[in-house]
Amino acid sequence: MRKEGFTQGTSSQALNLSAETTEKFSSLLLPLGKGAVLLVLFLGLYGPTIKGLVVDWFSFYTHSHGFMIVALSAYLAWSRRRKLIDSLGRPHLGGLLLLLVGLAVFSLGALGGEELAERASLPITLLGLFFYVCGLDMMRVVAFPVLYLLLMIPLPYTLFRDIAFALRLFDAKAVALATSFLGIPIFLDGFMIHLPEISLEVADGCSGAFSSVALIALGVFYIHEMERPNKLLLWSLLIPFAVFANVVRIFVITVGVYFFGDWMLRTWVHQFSGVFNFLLGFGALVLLSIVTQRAFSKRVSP
Amino acid sequence: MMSRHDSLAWWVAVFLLSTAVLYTRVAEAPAPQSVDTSLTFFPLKLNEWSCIPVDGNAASYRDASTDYSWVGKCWKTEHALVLDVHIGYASGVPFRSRNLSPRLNHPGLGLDDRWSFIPQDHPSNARQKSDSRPLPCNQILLSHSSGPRIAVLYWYQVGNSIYGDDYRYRVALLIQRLFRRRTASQLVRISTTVKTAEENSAFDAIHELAELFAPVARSRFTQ
Repeated sequence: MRKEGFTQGTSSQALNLSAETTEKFSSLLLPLGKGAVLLVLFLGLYGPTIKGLVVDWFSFYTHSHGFMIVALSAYLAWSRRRKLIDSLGRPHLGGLLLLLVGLAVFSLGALGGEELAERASLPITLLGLFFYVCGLDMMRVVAFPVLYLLLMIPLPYTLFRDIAFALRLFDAKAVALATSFLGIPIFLDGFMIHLPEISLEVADGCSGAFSSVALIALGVFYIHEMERPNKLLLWSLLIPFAVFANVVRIFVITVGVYFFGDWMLRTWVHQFSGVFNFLLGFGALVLLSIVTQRAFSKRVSP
Repeated sequence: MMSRHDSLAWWVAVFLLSTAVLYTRVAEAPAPQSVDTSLTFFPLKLNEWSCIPVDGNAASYRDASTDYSWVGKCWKTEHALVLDVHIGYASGVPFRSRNLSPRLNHPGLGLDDRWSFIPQDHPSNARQKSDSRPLPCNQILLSHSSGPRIAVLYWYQVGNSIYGDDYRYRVALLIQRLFRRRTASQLVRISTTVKTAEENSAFDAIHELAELFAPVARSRFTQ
């Protein structure tokens, strides 16, 4: 009897559930279908752009963090899935404006052969679509995951080299200053650091420009996602930390070379400069966030 | 439940995306312009300078981004320096190809991180003899981590305009592609290997040749 009742109850529940699910599914079917059409058109438009990005991430190790950005952006969207469903609203005309801006930038890039504009328009167009078709509330929910994709776009190499050049000069100057405090005789000529026995060049690869991009990308994710009151301080220190990490690395190498010889140049501190910078910079960021969090908690608590 | 308003927004979005796809992805790309590929581009004599064209296969400069390259060597009796002249023509077809900056693309090596460039503070004083307007060019010193240095002066030509700045070149190319449906551009690069003490004299010689060579390169740029 009990078994029968159980079976009957379960089957009727199952029937109800199935009817509910079917109803829910059929009510979602149309929006899902329309969303799929928009997705197909979006991919039709941006397919070659995305392909170019992936090729760049594969081809240049300095841009390979692009894969990480996409994965983190997907995670951010997934972690907001409930809010996403709840925030589905009415179309917003402001979104149409954003969509038009995105498409205009895209057209400028695609027709003018300027791939930076084409790539930069991708998050703008995507956000414009969400804003226009799904409303302001959804735009607010997806804004960060979508705009975070901007960090996947490699900067033009010419610009990168200009930034690297400025960083090399700064790093060399900072290291020369720090080293002089230790009493090490040093002569600085541009980005050449002359020690008594050896001359070191702060080369392009040593500028820290490439590792800084990855560090900034992860730092943005970390700071945005953590629920702490000291975000402003961390935002303002993100780029200085990236630069500081490289100065520390070059300082360690310079002092090491002076005291222990040129074998220091063959150590992992020099060979894996990007990894070292990344770990040092991100570690410092996490440490600062913990320390300031504790200091803030003490101040707030009675 | 979708309202009429929702449907309208969807149709507008579909229309905009479709139009963009058709206009940018399906539209016919500009056809490549014909170009004179002969090494006779090089003048054999430029005042007191003697020049010889170098066969593309024997030339040390390689630039994968360009469709055609003309390479030549020029010298003057009183100069101990031999200057390398490279003219790279990029048809822009496939659509995005353009001349790579000599700051990044190094002789015979392509992209090589061991080369770094040092911008030269002194602005170019090279002038074109024909109209005595300043030649907007860019001069850099390429330095290899193993020692060699190369003094380089370069400029780009888009249409009839000359640009020394890498960013201005990109903007000019963008404007030309958008409004004139022309995609071609050329790079003129005059360089020589130098020792540290010879940099100034090398740049003087390069400027001297640039003055003479610019009008020739400008007039022979076919598009």
